[in-house]
Amino acid sequence: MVVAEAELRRRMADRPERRLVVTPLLSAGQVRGGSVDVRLGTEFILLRRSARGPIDPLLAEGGQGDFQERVRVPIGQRMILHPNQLVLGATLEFLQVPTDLMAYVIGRSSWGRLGLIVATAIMVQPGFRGSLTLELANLGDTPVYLYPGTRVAQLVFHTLEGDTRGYTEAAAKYVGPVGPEFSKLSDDPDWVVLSRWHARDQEHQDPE
Amino acid sequence: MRAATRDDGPGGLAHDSRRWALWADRQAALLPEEARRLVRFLPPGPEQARWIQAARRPPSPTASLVREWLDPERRWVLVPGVRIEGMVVPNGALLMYPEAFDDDPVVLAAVALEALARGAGDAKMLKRRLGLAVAAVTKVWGHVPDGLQDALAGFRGWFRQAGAPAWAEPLDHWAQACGAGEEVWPGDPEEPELARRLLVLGLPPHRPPGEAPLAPGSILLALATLQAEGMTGLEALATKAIEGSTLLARWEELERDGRR
Repeated sequence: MVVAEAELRRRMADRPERRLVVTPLLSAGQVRGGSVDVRLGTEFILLRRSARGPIDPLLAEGGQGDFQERVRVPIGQRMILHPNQLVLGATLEFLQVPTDLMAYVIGRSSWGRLGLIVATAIMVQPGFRGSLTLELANLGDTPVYLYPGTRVAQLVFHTLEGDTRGYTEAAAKYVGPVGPEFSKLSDDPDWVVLSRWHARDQEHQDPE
Repeated sequence: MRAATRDDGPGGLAHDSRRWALWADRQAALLPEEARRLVRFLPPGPEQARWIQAARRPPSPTASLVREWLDPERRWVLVPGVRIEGMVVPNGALLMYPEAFDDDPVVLAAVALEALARGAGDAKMLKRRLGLAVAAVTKVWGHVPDGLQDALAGFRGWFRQAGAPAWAEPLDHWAQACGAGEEVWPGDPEEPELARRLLVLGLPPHRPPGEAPLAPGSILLALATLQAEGMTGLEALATKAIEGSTLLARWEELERDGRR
């Protein structure tokens, strides 16, 4: 069930452990209807376009890759996003989602009509705490300016039914970031199996 | 022991002041203007080299935000009659001038507590830093709150090592300069405790339901006390809240301007 504005505001005044936190809220109008507008933050991870080999997710440790660069663009300035370029941004707001709620991130259609796609990973888990990493891609044919501080997406909150184990209790992979985070695929338990599988196949192909 | 590098000074004889001056000119040319002004106060020599080294390090996110929060055009001052030539924090250099800091005690507290939170230095700077921090807290609250006395107690030993005869001295330092006991804290006196509770919970200090961040002075005070207790990793949350507080103030100012 979608959580309506009055309930959202009530949750935002709850005691800190159970509180729905969205901070900083630069204007009261960000909470309206059944959603909360979120703004583009000031930190970005740029993926370098260089003559390098393919990215191997198995080896890509967060923040360590030589194909990414972290930059800060203060509010009042802008950065350019070229056609087919992908950058990782983050919400300006730090969130805490109570363990009985979850949210969907929905990009604003006004940006979509300019070619900008926001947030492909759209579910915010119960118990999530931190700034949301946003995948920003320009699918248009024309470069687009990005202005930190603009409203780029909205969060639609839903209640959960039944016994819910909070995200923090389950897998604390993305807990508490205050800026964008690079992929942590290599932390997935599946990768242990897949990397052994890959290594054995390599051995069979190249016994020496 | 760390090997000497060319960043440590020109090498050769320590008393060769011409050589030191030439080296310092070259190094200082790489610094931002405010840091260049700072090193000009110091005579050529190893002390100046140490300051240049400190000034060349990029500021931490918190130090950057505190600097943004303060008006960059304002000359940083302490209290009338008490000159502090400069204060080094591990990741940046802060300048202070004896003009009129007393019109904004929260700014003073933020700077002092930022420095305090960042800890060590030589004995002379430590004494200044501690005096500044306690004086700032006294100025802001009119007294050192009970909870904070425990946190500051950890620094008392340093203060004695730095040659101070008694704990009372930093309090006197303020009393002589501005008059202690004056209540000037513009916000809720419970804010630092609230900031502290939220940081411990892993949240940027904020005030519900509008989710406005708390004042930077409160956040830095909370951060300083938690770091004194050995809690680490909270700086990012504090920085997030200080950034939010700075942005909110600017946002509201521009909204007001737009309505005029």
